[in-house]
Amino acid sequence: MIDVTYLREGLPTRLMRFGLLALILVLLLFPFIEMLSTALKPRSTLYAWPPAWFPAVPAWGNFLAIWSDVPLALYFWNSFVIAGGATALATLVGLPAGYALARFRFPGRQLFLYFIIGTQMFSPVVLLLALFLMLNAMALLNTHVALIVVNAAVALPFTIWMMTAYFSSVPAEIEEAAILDGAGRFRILVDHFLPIAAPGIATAMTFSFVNAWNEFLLALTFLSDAKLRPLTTGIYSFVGRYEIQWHLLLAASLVAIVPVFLGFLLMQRQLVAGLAAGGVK
Amino acid sequence: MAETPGSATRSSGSTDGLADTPSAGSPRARSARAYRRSHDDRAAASAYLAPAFALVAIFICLPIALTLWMSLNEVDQFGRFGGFVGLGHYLALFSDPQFIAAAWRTVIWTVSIVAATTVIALFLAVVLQQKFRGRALVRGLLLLPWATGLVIVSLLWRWMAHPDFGAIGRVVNAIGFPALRVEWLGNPALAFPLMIWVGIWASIPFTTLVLAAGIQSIDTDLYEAATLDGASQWRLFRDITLPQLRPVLAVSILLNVIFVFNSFPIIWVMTEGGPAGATDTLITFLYRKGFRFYDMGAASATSVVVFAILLGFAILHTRIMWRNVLR
Repeated sequence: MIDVTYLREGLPTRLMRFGLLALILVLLLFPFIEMLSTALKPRSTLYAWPPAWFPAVPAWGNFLAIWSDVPLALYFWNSFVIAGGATALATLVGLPAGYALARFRFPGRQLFLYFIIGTQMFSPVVLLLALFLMLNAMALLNTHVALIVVNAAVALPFTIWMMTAYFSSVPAEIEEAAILDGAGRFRILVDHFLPIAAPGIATAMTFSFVNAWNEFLLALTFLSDAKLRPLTTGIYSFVGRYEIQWHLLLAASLVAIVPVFLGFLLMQRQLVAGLAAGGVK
Repeated sequence: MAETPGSATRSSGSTDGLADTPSAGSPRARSARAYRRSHDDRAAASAYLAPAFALVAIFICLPIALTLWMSLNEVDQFGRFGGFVGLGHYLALFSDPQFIAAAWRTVIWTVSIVAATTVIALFLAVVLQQKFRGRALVRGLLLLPWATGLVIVSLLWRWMAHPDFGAIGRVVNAIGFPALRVEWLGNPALAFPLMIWVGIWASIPFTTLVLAAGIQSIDTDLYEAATLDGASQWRLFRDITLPQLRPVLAVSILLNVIFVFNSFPIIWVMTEGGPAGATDTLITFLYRKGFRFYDMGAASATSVVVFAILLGFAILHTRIMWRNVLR
């Protein structure tokens, strides 16, 4: 951590700098205050004129209504199944691949690494049409399996990249000693590599999970059954109705943000390190 | 930052890592080589890599190939092929003014969001470099917009842009235009800049955290030496922070370009590219062509154009990553 507070600096410069900081923070956070304020507005005042900044009587009941008027629990569960499934699949497949790329010597290894970094760039947008037709032919449209598999495929390059980086940092002696002891490749992976790579695995899993959790386009395109919707398209489906019930929509949104925000707070350091190393959002 | 993956990656060059270069003469490297010679890993490697390869091949590579083939054929909405048309779809696309307009708009969209985000985030990262009360709180609060998925962000801003009951209108009314009523999203000349702002708003936290991590890894001695020489705050920024941060800046700019270019939810949730396609980028243009109008020819040809642009970014990204991380 750098400490540059000892630098000589005039008071006006300091004031200006922190004033600007405060302005940016207000711009960044103001929407969340508006979100909370709307989420607490009673149905009757939502479209009342003149609009109020804050509800006179907060309607805390909105936060109960979202569980009964909207199948929010179901959306949560669907998001959890999709994001959890995609993360599990990407990790299970990506771990051995990263291990092989970091530790095995074989022709085409360099090429495979290029291939992995390259495919990281391909957002599902360009694949959408073909994926739709393929999933249709495989009878996977309108299933969670489709979203799990495609989200896993999208998350896989970063997972492999991260695993390769971590496994490469394990000293060769550890591996050689284990081999002399007669341990097999798989045993070595489990006993010696997994403990060292644990932070990297956690980071990769967090990214896979959050990306799948926030994913919108694939869910919008591949799921038509309302009962299968995750939070993103579930909350978005409020918009299709005649008059948008913004108070419920934003109350549901607030609740939906909480688990991700808490996860981000917990994983803050790993997330930033992961961003710097692998480059995913 | 010894335990971060960034340094793990960097150190990989000196152990038995990704690039088999340095310390070639050391005893450790010799034993590793001997060990390698005694083990043929080909069979094991293919077993470990096969599932990953299959997943990427089936769900990323195959769709790309299929899209390419679709763009050269007549295809109906059920995926039935009806004859080879060569470059017909591309010719139609490039003579479609809507497509050309969407392409230009994508450039404006990407460049303005990434440029503004980078400048603001750089400022925030430099301020966060200093110790002040509440710094940890500011960092934590930065995570909030980032943790909020783009769909919720876009819905929130759509509500705030409501001409009668939205918060933007209320702010405008409060700062001296009491009777003004604006259809923010009904008018493309207002809707598009507003969505650009939402894009900036959503990109700042991630970019700030990446740049702040980059600044943290700059050698403190550089600052101390320069301070002893009497360098001003601005000189420190221009002569130390900025040049030292260049590789991190390059990665963050490129990643933002890719994310912003690909971004779908902001525009789709706020305007669906409307009114009448006037706020389309290539991505929403593609989506509407394919899944609203079932014009598979135009949609697949647009996909290929977008793919070609992404491929350019990917090559750039690969080269930067290779230089920065694998060295």
